[in-house]
Amino acid sequence: MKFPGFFFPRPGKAKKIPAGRQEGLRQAEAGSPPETGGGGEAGVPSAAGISTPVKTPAWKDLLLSSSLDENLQNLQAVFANCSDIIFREFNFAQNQNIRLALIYTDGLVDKDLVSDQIMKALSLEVPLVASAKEITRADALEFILRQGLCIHQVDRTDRLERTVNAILSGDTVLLVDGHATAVINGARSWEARSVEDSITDKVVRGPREAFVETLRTNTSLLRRRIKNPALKIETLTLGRVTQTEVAVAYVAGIVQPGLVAEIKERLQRINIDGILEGGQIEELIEDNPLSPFGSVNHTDRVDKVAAQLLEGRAAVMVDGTPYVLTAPALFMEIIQDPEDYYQRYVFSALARLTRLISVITVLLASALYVAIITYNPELLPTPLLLSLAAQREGVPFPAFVEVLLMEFVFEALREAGLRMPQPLGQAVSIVGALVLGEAAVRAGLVGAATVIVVALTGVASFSFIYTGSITLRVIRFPLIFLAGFMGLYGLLIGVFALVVHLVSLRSFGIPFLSPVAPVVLSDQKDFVVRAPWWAMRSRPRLIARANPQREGPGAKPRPPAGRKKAGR
Amino acid sequence: MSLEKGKISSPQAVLLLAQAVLATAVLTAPSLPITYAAQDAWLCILLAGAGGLAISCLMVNLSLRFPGKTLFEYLEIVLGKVPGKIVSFFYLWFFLHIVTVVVREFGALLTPAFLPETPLIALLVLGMVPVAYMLWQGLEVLARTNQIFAALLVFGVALVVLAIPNIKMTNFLPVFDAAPVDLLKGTLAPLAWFGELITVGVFLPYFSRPEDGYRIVALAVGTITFMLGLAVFLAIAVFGPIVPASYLFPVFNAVRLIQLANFIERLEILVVIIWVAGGLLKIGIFYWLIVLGAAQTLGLRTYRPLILPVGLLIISLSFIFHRSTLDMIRYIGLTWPFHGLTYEALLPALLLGIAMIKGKRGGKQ
Repeated sequence: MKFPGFFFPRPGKAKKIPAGRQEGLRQAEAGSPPETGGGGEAGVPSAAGISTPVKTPAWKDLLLSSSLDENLQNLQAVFANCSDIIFREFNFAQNQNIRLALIYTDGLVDKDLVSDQIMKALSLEVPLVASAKEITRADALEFILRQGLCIHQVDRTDRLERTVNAILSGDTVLLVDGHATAVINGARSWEARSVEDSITDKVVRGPREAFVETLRTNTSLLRRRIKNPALKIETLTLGRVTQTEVAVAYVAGIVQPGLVAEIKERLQRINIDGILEGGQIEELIEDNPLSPFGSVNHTDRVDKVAAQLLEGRAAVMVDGTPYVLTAPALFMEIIQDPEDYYQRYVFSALARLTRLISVITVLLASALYVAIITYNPELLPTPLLLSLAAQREGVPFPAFVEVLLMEFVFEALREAGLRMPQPLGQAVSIVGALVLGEAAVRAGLVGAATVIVVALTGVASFSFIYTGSITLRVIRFPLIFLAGFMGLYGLLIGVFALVVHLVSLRSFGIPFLSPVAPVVLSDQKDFVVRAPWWAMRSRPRLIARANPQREGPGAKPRPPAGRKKAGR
Repeated sequence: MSLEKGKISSPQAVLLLAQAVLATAVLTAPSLPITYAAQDAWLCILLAGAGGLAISCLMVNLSLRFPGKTLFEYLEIVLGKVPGKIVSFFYLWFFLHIVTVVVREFGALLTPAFLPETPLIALLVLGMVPVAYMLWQGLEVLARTNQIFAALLVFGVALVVLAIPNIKMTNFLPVFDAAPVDLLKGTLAPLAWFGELITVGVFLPYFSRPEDGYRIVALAVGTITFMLGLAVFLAIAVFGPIVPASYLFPVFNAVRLIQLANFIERLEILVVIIWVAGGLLKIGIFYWLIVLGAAQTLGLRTYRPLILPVGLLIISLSFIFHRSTLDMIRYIGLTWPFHGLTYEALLPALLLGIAMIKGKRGGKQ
């Protein structure tokens, strides 16, 4: 593969470019065509590392200088053409010879805080608190840190890279003339969605709050659930260009010790220009990249993540993503819903059973229909067979084509429902339900039974967790093909292959089909039925091997033995 | 050992061994004993079970003398390098015979039940694909898949309950009517099926607790005896002592008669489903034994390259060994008991004798 860089060599940088591959990356990242991206940029101190081919641009290793002008010059070079970076220079209140400068990103800082507690304090109010002694240039920094700033979180650095990152993350940087140190003020504030209901996991009973796009808000939501120093949240930065913050959360003492190390190792292996959503990370760290089944789960529910952490899993939170990844993932999680754990356990069992049957329906219903109608109609009871035959009398297509047609219609409707502008919803549902369903049957294009089967599949696919349902909906099509090709036998072979595949999967070392194969008896309490809480004494055995005990013994509530019975 | 890194737990081992015998035997087993022993055929199954226990314990005893070694590996220790390899090849040849019978029996029920006009070979090739995929993933996946489909056997037992309206207990009278010679004749074929438990000689090193070998085979023999006994019981109870002998799949026919509440009918499809899943697994088990054994005998580092050629070999040999279903039935009735028991009882007994003599001289490893 040839990259444009070979055709448009850049004289100024030719030596630094190690390989054609990185040259290509550079092109992609700069997002500019090779002709214009070339020589012109070469002399400019590179902007935020974007247009340099090597991973560490020249300014990254620079230290701050004690000259304010030089620092500002450097920063202005780094932030050239970044109109949202504000440079504000002013003088220290007590000693007009000491120049100060504030650098921050417009829109990412709390403007009131910056103007009141930093600028106003330093440029006007300092004389009120300062001692009579004049503050010299040498002790200005120490004084500002001790008494000048009314900011909760203050940090300092002497490295240019750290300074740049702080500015970009929303911190406000204060530079003091004569000091090679930048004061980083935590005064972040930006427009963000507030904490709202979960979009994908609705519950009737249970907490509603869901994660949002801001990592810090998300960690605080989690911390509010687990008020324990054992909840660890480790952060690292991923994405060469986007510099996205990614946090790994786990409960120390419950999580399997190797798990966190493994997750961090896999995260650190990621070398990509940008992380825009957790889904990218999911695909980059999972065990079975070729499988349709993901080996990392995600949810936007706070209580679910907290429960997962308490079961010994680890979570990966990505800034800018309201979905938190959890691992290891099990297949059975597709029929588990947070509400199961809050509702009465008898009802939960019913709900889970419904979902389990739905899973099977999504996978098999239409394929089974094709197989039976096409190859083994004798399996149906005679009255049903007769009515089916009557319906299908005028249908010009074989059942296979018919089902594929209706499945396509359903998938298209679903996709349309998701993507269309909201005011059009009515129109599509009318067209979908009436025209396509009713009229197709009347016109004799498809049998009514086909519509029923496909609709049933559709309804069933929404009755369990969305991630699982999209996977199963994909797998359904090969099964329909096998059924159309070889009837029930083909379908059976397909199911066999599916089971073999599921059984062979692992998620971070845990067998994906875990409580079923290998059979884990103690985990059956939380599979098809959810045992009452007083009986769920242990955590999932394979996941929480490190610390399996969840409850103390004797949790089953009973009235006190000696109580007098009232009402006699 | 390095060929296969999987370990299987004791319950998985029991189910695997049971499946290695049951999958095909449960449908075909009743015919032969009923042919000879009529309504006393259930006695044949009990006798065969006892014999099977003896055979499998013998094999466990032999295998436990060579911890961590499979049959193919310790053959070389017991017999010496070259003779060991030769006997290994004989065993591979024997396992090939078993698997071809399974493949053909698998097809014999499949074709009429599902796709009467499709050439058998097309069905078999399609069926072998997921099996080969399973082997590619290794023993652990084989064992777990088996564990899942073993749950289907519960349905099998449920079918017997549903067949109760068709059952006539008087069919079993008079009890103990068969002559001892006939009983013995009727026992031979099921005994040879039970003898397939010698596969424990290859599986044992992969058990997570090989020291439980005796208990595992005992449980496996118990499961098999129960299921085969149930099959024979069902066949006789529904059809009487004479008719089932002429059926190829008496259980299938018995289930076919189930009709309850104008709604529960045509349940034989369940039997076919159990049969297809069990058949694929049994093919998988012996297929695995062959590729593993071949790789160990030939000294390969992995058996994966052998999966495709052996798969092709199995399909073609199943047509070469048995020209038709009738040909296969004749083989099962007349040749199989002696062919099978030679490898399942005679050879292992000889091997155990040699190993004991050598073992006393310190040749044990």
